[in-house]
Amino acid sequence: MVIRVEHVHKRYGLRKVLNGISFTADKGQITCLIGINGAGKSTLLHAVMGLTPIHGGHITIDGEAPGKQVYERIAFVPDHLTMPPGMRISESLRFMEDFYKGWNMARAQELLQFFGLERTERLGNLSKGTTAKFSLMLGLGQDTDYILMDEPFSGIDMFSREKITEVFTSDLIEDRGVLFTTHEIAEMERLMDKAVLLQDGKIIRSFDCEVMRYEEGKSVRDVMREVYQS
Amino acid sequence: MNRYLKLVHMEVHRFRYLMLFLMGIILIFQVGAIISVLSDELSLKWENPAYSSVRQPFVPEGMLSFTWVISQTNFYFIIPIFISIAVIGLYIFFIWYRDWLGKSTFIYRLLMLPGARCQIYLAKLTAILIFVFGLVSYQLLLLPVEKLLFQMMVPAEWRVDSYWPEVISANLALDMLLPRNVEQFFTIYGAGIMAVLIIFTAILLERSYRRIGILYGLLYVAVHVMAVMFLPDLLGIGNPDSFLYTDEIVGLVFGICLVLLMLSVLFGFRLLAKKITV
Amino acid sequence: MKRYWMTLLFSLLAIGGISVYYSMGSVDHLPDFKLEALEGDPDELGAVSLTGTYGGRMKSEVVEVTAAGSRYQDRNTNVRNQLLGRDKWFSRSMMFDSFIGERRNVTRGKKYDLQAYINEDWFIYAKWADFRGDSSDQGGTMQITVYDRKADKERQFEVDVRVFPGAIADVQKLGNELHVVINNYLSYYPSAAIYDLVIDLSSEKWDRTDKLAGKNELSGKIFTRNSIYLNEDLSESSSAFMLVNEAKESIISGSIGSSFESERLSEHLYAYSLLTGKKEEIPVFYTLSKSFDSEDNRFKTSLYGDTYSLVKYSVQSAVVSQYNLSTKEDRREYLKLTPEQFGAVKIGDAVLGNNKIYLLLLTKSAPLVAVVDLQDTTILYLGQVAYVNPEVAETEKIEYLRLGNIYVKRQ
Repeated sequence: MVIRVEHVHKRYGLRKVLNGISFTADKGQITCLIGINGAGKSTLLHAVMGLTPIHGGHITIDGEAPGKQVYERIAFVPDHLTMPPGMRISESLRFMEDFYKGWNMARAQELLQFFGLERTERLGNLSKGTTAKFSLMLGLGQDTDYILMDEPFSGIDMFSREKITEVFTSDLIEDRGVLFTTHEIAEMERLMDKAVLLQDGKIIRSFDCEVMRYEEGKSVRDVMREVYQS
Repeated sequence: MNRYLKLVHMEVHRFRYLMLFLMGIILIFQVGAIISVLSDELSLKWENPAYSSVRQPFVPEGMLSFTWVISQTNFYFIIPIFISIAVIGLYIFFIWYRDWLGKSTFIYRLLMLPGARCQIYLAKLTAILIFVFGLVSYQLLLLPVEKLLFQMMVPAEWRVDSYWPEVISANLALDMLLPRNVEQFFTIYGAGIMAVLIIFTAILLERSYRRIGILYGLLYVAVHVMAVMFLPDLLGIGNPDSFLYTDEIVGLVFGICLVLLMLSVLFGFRLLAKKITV
Repeated sequence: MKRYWMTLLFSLLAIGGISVYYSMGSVDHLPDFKLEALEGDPDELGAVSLTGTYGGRMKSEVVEVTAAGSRYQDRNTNVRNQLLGRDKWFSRSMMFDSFIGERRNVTRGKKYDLQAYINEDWFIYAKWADFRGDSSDQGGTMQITVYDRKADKERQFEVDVRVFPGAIADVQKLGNELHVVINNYLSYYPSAAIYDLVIDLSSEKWDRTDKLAGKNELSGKIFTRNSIYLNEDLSESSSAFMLVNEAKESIISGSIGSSFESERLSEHLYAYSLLTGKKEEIPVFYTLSKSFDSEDNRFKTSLYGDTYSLVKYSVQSAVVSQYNLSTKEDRREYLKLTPEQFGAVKIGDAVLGNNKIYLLLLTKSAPLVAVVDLQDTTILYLGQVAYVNPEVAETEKIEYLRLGNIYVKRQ
């Protein structure tokens, strides 16, 4: 059970954004895509979700190409709001229930309370931190095998960040395969199992964090310093 | 099917206030114009019961007809209809672009819904159809209400009856929106639907290829417009030496339009499924 | 489920309003008419149609009435009919129309009445295969299609012809000779030279070219405008007459090459026999001058076989004169028709065709149509416009029907 990305290429006009990317993200593991802004991380997540076409290579989720019913098995938590701003939180929950067979309303309600979200609030009025919590609730409210997150902590206030981190380490995440992106390592280090370093559309290092710490005594930050400063 | 219907409901739900607003201004302008015209005329008639502004050879002396009222209120009837057409025209674009613009991009969620993406396309199309035909039907239902108003305002001895086709012909815009000939109704609105589909696909071309997509989109629309306009002449209509007979040409023109329509839809489906990008 | 109420309402509205209107509300209650025979043989009527308007509404409705029924223009306006109407500018005879219906493949690409010759036995079509330019007199190649109707045999051949190329204006068959009349117009030049191209049908070769009328060069402001009158008789008549009109005109304003206005100075009408090649002038009386055409005095003409007929009519009377082109017999104003003799009040319109005169007569109520034979002046038919459904008379008035024009199709 794995998300497999093989020799993926993508151009934006003349600029090569993804230049032969290959890696895997296993179910039950937390994989992190690391790179500076513009390295192609978001694009890669979009490609895995079928939100943008690729110009070479293959992407498979448990052996299937992204699309159609695969969306019941993989969820995406974007870095910005992707629901109509005039919609209320309660209406968005009903929307998800209408369209996703794997929607777990009970769990969503729990998350709603845990994050302290107001049912009647309109999505357009939420702060950045609240929006992030809301998106995460929508993502986790689905019973999926995989969950992708784009910059889950970027620009979020400290308290929201704490709440989100709690979720990361809870049993809500345990069995799932998580693939997320970030450009700042900080608190994320202790959360991830596998790190994939991107630069100029290529993977320059990819390793298991536990193994790296044990065998070479290096933290992810150490490896990054090595790699990005050379 | 269920999913498609839910998407249709969602789209209709999103424009419901706009539609109600247009219905409102149609009502206000039209009823206002009727009351205004009738009160002016009636005030003249109260002074001189034999008088009538109606200068029609077939309406008896001194009588008023609802058809006449409609012919006098042309301008004020047409304003809200024009506004509605403009709004719907813009909405054809807005129904897609609104999902990309602003700080929330709903298109992400739509594209990640399980099931075939063509249902998104069809739901937006259906919503536009409901918008258009809903307003046309509303206008139709408004007419007997307005006729009732006429009957309430004008005493029976000053009234003469009218048939509906005559009433509709008395207003320039209504005459075009509700043609006498049923086949013409289907032809006009069929052509309208074809235009919507071509625009939809052009929009999807732009959203799939971005900057050069604008060019593709415009070219796509231009080619279709040219083709449909010049097709009868290209096939030799009105030319006695042409290989095809006129009825064959007409059949071909309609047939080709149908094929182009289908191709636009299928092309749109494909763009949405494989080439679209957020 | 109940949260969908507004969408359901809008959807029902969308479908409901329009379907109710078109199925029930759009009945316009316009009465249907037809031409009913009062006396005489309905077959003599042929394809006559009357056009005008029907009132009784705020806007008069344009209507066409025939023996088969009536047709309101607004009821039938749609894109398909407008496209189908694009070939109405060529006026084919009824025989040609029915032949096209029978033998679509033979007449494919050959539907222009001026380039076709048709009668009971033959269908012949001439078209230019290759045109060798305006200025040369090398002529060109003409493609001739000969179809034997009785034997159902078609042959097609190409023949090199020597004549100034021009528009094909008429095709006649005289025995073994095929006469193709050519109108040689230079672009913008009002003066045309008219030629008769003779092709031998057995040898399939060009025989000769006869000149009917010359193209007179423009001298100062004066030029000659030539035109031809075609014969309506479709049978292989022995004389094959046609008329050539040579008119002298003077330019008032504008100039040749662009738009201009001219006035007619004089006119001569000649009868030309395709068989003998003789061109003889016919009496001046039959040459129409400007004094003719006015509100009260209208005229129509018809060339049928050997006879050229002219009717001058007003609201009070229609007077027919006939000239026989081969015997030169001149029956001046031999037939005078008045509305009173048919029980009518005025003459609405008249038209000549098929060797008959057709009159549209107006009465205090429904209009009448009378058909009179031009040869022996017998009244062949008298008919009146009537409602298709008599009950309609309760709500509508036949006086609202104002017919002004009568047309007849060549048989």
